Amino acid sequence: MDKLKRKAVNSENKETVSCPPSFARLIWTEISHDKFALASFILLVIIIITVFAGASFVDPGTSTKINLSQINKAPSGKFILGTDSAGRDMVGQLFLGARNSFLIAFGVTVFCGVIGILVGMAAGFFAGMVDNIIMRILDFLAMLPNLMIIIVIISLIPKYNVTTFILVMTAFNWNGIARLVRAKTLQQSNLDYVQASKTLGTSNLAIMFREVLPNIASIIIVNLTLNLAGNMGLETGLTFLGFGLPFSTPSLGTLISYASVPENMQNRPWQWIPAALLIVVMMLCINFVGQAIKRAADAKQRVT
Amino acid sequence: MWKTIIRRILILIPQVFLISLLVFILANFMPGDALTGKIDPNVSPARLEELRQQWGYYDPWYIKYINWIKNIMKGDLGESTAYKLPVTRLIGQRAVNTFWLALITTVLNYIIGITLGVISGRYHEKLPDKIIVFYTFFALAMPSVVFGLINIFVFSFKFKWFPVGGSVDVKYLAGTIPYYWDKLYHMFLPALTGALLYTVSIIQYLRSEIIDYKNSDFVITARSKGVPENKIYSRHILRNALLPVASFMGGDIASLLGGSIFIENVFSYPGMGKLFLESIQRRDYAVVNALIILFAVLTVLGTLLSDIIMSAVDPRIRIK
Repeated sequence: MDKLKRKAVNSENKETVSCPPSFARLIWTEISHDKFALASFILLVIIIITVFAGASFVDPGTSTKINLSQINKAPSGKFILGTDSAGRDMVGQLFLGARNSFLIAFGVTVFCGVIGILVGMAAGFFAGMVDNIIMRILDFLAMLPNLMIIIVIISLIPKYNVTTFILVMTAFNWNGIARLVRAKTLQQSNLDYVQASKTLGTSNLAIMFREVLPNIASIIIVNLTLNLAGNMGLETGLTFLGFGLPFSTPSLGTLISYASVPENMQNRPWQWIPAALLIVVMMLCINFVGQAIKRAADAKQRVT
Repeated sequence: MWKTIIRRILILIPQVFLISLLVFILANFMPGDALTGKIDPNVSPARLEELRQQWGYYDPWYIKYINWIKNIMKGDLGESTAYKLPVTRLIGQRAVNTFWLALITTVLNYIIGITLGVISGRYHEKLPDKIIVFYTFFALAMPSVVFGLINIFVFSFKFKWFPVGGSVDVKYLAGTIPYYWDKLYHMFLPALTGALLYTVSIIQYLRSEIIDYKNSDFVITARSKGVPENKIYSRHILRNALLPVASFMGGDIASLLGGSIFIENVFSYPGMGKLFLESIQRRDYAVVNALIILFAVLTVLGTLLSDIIMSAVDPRIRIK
């Protein structure tokens, strides 16, 4: 209510501005007005910079090589977060793990975004037969028990690594975004500006990517941001169950899976609690920022 | 009404067919065949070869597929190589556990969701609402694996209020009252963990519905007639706001019955989700295939149920 009032007052006092502010500008206004979002944004940037910088300075000798003389050491001056059951330094593993988890989630989100935009726009723009076929495929994908099929495929791939993992996750996660893009494109393609462009003889591709896409970009960005958090959760879960990254590649999921041994869970919390906290904090931050972007994308909820 | 349902069912048939085809293709990539579990030194390779011929190992794929579907229709899903049990019996044993867990989770889910949703909508933008909205963010950000582990760490290890895992203590005799009580006790923490996370969608939906209805005409009329505020919420607003939430039930129940893979594994609860992972690790593919088909059918039925509930409570959908 408060926001609406403020908006009403603003629109009375100001003259109408002919040039609408850019989306980046809107996001920034929205984030800087919301203390939570601003704090999350700063925290997220700090975490990501620390993790990436930390991961590139990590000493592979202490954090990835097995060292039998340093097994299960509690946190101390030498190992700030202690060591695991193979004598590896937890700080280094945390940096590497967080970086890998973030990169995987990011990769999956970007791939899903690209496929979703292409398929969704094709369905929404050409409508008719194309739309019908694509929608039936999407309906079918929505029916699948995704998680189980991802697990089965991962267990069947003989030599899987980060790339195959990203591809398998992408293959079963792009339908949500495609559905959204389709709905938005359908809406836009009935508007006058698209009809006008068509009459002027602009090619379909040019209309789709130069005219429709910028208009639906904000809602896509919102969705992808929220998906990023979801994908991090999914990666962690799959790796925790043993169907994500191979054990030698640390990710937040492998670190959290130390807790599946009761002894570690109860007596060596330094092995898994930092990773658990880090993923929750990162996902919370991404969600808060995502919500702020969502408000920026929706003219009704915007601050200014 | 009936027309809608029948049309929905007709759409489902090709989908189920495609899913079965997909599982069949996946099954062909899986190593081993129906005889893998029967290989032992007393059976000669020649005899195995003969059995393979007899059981259609060398048939073309479409004949295999048709036979496979025929067997499923007859309820024969093969035999588990790890347990030496028919798959249907094995799944049946685990399905009971998953069913009870799903039931309790659903009940907790709706109790928590409706309570918090109503409070949040009623005290919109006030302190209780802000706390609940923050909670929904928190629950959305929480991977179920992490939440489950933290709950075990806090409630089972630190406070020792709940057991660490499993479904029932061995010291109780099956069928006695303490036995069921103990089962319930083992189920409570996993069910609560699931419910606290899944309930977010109910809270968010109910909250926005209530906020929408708050200033609608019929509420203003009721208020001006002097209906007490509590009654307005329980009789007038909630009845309307709950309708769409009811339609979530189909999907929720299906996904829960499908065995929440994460929750069951974190709590090592012997349901279908845990059976699925165990079977994959043991390369017991007959069980894996049967579970995928079962879950796909459950999802399909859940969607159907949601649609039916929706068209039953909201006539506008039927007309379309």
